[in-house]
Amino acid sequence: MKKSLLINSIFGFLIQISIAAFLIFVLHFLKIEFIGRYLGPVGLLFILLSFLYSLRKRKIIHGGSMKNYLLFHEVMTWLGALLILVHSGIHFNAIIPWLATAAMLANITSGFAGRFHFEEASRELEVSKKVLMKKGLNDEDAENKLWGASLHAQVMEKWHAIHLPITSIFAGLLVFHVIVVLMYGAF
Amino acid sequence: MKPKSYAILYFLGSIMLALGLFYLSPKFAASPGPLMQGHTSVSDCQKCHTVFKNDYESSCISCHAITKIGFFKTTGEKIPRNTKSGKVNHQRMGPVSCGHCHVDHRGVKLAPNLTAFNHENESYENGQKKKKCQTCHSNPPDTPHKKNTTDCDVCHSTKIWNKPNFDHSVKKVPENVFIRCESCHKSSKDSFHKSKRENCGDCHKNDVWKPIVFDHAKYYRLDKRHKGTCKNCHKLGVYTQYKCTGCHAHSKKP
Repeated sequence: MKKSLLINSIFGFLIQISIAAFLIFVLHFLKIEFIGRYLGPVGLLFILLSFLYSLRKRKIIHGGSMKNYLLFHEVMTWLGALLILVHSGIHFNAIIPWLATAAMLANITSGFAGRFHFEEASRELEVSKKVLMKKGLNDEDAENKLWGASLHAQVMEKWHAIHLPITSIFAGLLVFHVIVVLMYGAF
Repeated sequence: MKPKSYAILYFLGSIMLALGLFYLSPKFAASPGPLMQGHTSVSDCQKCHTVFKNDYESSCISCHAITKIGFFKTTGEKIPRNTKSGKVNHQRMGPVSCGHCHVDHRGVKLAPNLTAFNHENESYENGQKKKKCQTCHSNPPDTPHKKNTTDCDVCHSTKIWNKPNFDHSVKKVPENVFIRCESCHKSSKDSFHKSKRENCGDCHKNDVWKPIVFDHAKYYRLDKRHKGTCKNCHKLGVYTQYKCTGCHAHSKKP
């Protein structure tokens, strides 16, 4: 089960790269690569919308299940990153946008790794929780007791310490790129 | 330190890194592509760009004065009259943006519909059409273009130049220009087309040149007894001639 989930994560990443490469090829083949220029802002919008999950997690907004918000976060970041990859279009020109793209790819990889550990931790907890609940503990107590004991749950905590800085670096480079584009009127 | 704090530090750190790279080399850090040949020596972005202002024209005109385009280089050197690049007559153009036709930073093109040239300008619609078109569009050296010395708009429109929409109604065709189909349509070099130089209309139609529409029954009805390949009857691949003896041998019996 573990293996299949890991393969799923790697497969998801490879599919994204392949779709991006295919779209870049099609745009160039049809000589309409200029469309890629406008996919950047759309991708950015998708990624910004995906942060509704972070707002919900930090209880800045309320309503709706966390599970759905997480799914929304995953789908929107996946789509946003795909559009930004097409936007970058394998043109190696300026270094800052490319550093931002590299940070985004690292972010996607880290996201898939996080998803893998989160799913595994949830699965482990679910099994052990049932055992503890049979022994008379209520749902919340059982979860609190087990969270620290799960290996994947421990990895998840360390993963947060990596995912957040990568996101911050990506955000910083992206903000700089957007400012430069607005400054020099390349829109 | 709380995760929030170090996230902010990483965010600011990456911006500082980008700023440093930009300070050291703006071209390396942020240029979206190499400049056109004449601008390669320009290293200062502000030479053409006004920060937070999408106004290229005033920068273009500061070096390329409209009255001198085609006659003098930006260095002041005179351009010989027979030079191809000097022929575009900008002085007769209306108030159009430079960016409609010229794009710097190779590889960065805006959407065509955003940069399409404004042909609605009065000077491109009234009189001397041919001459006006050729200010920008060169006349291809093929047959229909060689013969047509008058109206470009018989085939082309100011909306779409590259996909000619030719009206075959005879009234619109200038005399002695499109006498035969071959004036515009190249005849295929296969044996069939070599043997048949006339009556293109038997197969081709005015509104659709391809695919062909040939009514074989007009000449010979291919009933259920005659369903072989073309070469059964047209032995040498010459479709204007046929032989029955490929299948029906001569014999004394009826």
